Amino acid sequence: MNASRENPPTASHREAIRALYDAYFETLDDGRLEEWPEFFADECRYRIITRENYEAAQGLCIMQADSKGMLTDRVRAILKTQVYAPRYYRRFYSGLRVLGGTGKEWEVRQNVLIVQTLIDKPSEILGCGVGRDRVVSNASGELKFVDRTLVFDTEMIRNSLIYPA
Amino acid sequence: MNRIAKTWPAAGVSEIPYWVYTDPEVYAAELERIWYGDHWIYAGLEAELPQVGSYRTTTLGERQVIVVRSAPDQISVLENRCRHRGVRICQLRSGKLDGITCPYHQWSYALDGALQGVPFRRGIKGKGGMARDFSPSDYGLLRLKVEVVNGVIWASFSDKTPPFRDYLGEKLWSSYERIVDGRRLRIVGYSRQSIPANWKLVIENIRDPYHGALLHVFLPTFGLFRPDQASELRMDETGRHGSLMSLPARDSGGGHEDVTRDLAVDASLQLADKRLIEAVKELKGVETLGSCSVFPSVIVLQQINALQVRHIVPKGPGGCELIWTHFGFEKDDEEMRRRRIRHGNLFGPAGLVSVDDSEVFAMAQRGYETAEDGGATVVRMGTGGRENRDEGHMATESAIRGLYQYYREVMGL
Amino acid sequence: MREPHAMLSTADTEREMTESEWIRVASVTELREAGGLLGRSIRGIPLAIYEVSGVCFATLDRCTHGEGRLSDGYLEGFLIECPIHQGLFDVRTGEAARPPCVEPVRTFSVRREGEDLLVSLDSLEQAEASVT
Repeated sequence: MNASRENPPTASHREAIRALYDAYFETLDDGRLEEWPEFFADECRYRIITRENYEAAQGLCIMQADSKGMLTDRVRAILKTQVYAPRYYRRFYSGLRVLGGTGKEWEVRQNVLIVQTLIDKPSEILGCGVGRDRVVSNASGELKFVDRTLVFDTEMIRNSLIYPA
Repeated sequence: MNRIAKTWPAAGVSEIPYWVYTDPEVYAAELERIWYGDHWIYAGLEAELPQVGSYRTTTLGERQVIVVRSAPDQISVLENRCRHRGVRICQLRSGKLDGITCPYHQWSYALDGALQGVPFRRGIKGKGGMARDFSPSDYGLLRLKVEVVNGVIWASFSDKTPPFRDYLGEKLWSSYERIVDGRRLRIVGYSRQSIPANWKLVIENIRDPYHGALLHVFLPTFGLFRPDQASELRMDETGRHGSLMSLPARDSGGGHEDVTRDLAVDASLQLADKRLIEAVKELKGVETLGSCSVFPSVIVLQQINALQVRHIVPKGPGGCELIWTHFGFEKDDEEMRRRRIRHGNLFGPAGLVSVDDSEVFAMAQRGYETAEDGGATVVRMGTGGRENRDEGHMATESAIRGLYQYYREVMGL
Repeated sequence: MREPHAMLSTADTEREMTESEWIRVASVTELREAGGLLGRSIRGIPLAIYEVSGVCFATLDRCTHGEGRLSDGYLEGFLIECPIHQGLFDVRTGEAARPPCVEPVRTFSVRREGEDLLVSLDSLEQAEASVT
């Protein structure tokens, strides 16, 4: 989609988009993983992709889904099948910019920092990146992600990336 | 080479002493005897170097090298260190070069490592400079022995390393060639993890069919793997290389419910989007998983339609990096491209399957680091060592014993 | 391969004098005292002047590979070695004779008039034009 800069977001658009991101990160930080897929449209794309692969236009992602169903499969695996040392993540987003859109669809960009805390370890930076997203207003007027692409500066991951961002 | 002042337990390779995973002296000897010795180390894929001058930097053992296409049909692997004052020359991970020039004093080397230019070698207006008998050919970048085999670049610090196919051995050649079969490759992407665990844990893991269905709950839960399915675990004659193949679960007889009843899985879980693991056959044979582990540095692996090399880089006794290169074939259609990306979800630092491994390696290393003197791990499942009397089933640790039979020989332990 | 810019015969000299202008760049003695290799800047253009077995040549005083000054280099026979990376050019034609030099270096017509060495104004002007 070519976001038209002739339809810049109004203050109320911006407020709604900020509320979406606040709720999104709060849901994840609180560990309510089952609610995470609900932020997405049925047909959506989700990626955490390293800058290396993104800039070389190579497709491999760290985490990827191309449907809401695949997001729920990821949640199921995190909660039921994967084996990992227990930890918390806390996500900090900043520099939220709404770049333009059609009134119903918006391009949004933001920085993201993920801090991880393993038991008895100091909190550490797991990674950071820039989100390059598209959100859409659905029939009920709710904002949903149709594309969330987090381009990760952190190419060498400290062992594992368990939870989404 | 100095003898290492350590004594292996009397039980032989049925016990692996903890110090193998933690002792700095042992680690230093591993670098010397294994990584820089008569072994082939994974240095990349030809498909990563499309043009003359294309290069990537990578680490073999702990030494960084430049892997460069120095002529249309020649790959050079050169130590990334200027012969003048020891500066690491190339700072980027990849790019394209006309020549290799050190930033400090501009000593410049041809793409094959030959020293071409020493600024003011003849002095300035006759004053200073190098001695007349200075010979540039004595100061080229260190060149490693190189062999490219079915599109995979192998390098060795030793001139005495035998040709790759002899090194791998005929027994395992088919497991290698099955995945890198000579078709032109295409890079799907990279992922990188630093794992707080000894590098050998990665190698043992791919030769450990016992853990497959027990640790990787995702696999039996969603029907990708069962402990009773037909499998083949083989080693080369030395025990150092290994291959593991699995046939598809539904072809192996027995209902899905039967086997998973014994395992701690919720057999009622179904994938919402089956495209996550749906595979099409593209290689020889019907195996859903095939691996060729080439000691010490790499595992070449196919699982569903994810084709990958996992490159191991040791970082001291307590750490290593795992660099995954996912690849496909040049002729992949759009659907296959998408499929490989979806299947990529099973691997790497967020891998639905591989996270279990790297997390467990870290847990193992924490166990070793606080272990008492004289402690050891126990590998007594199944029968045999490198002669392996256990092909065909998963309840065996014979390939780990076989690996350590070789390890003890090469390390003098 | 370009034709060498050799010394002109006396018969050609008078014709040349009327067809183009020549600028004095150095004396033969200066060049010889400098060991047959001299750097001079004329109208802002750096020139390297050479003498090999009694014949004079001139090139731009800048290696085509990097920033090396050829007049700081090493002349052996007709080959000038750039001091930075030891690439070679043939001073007669400007052609690169050894890597890392690949692109030829610009040459200039030189003639001798008594004790003076002159460079052709035309070839200087061509060089100026290509720089701007």
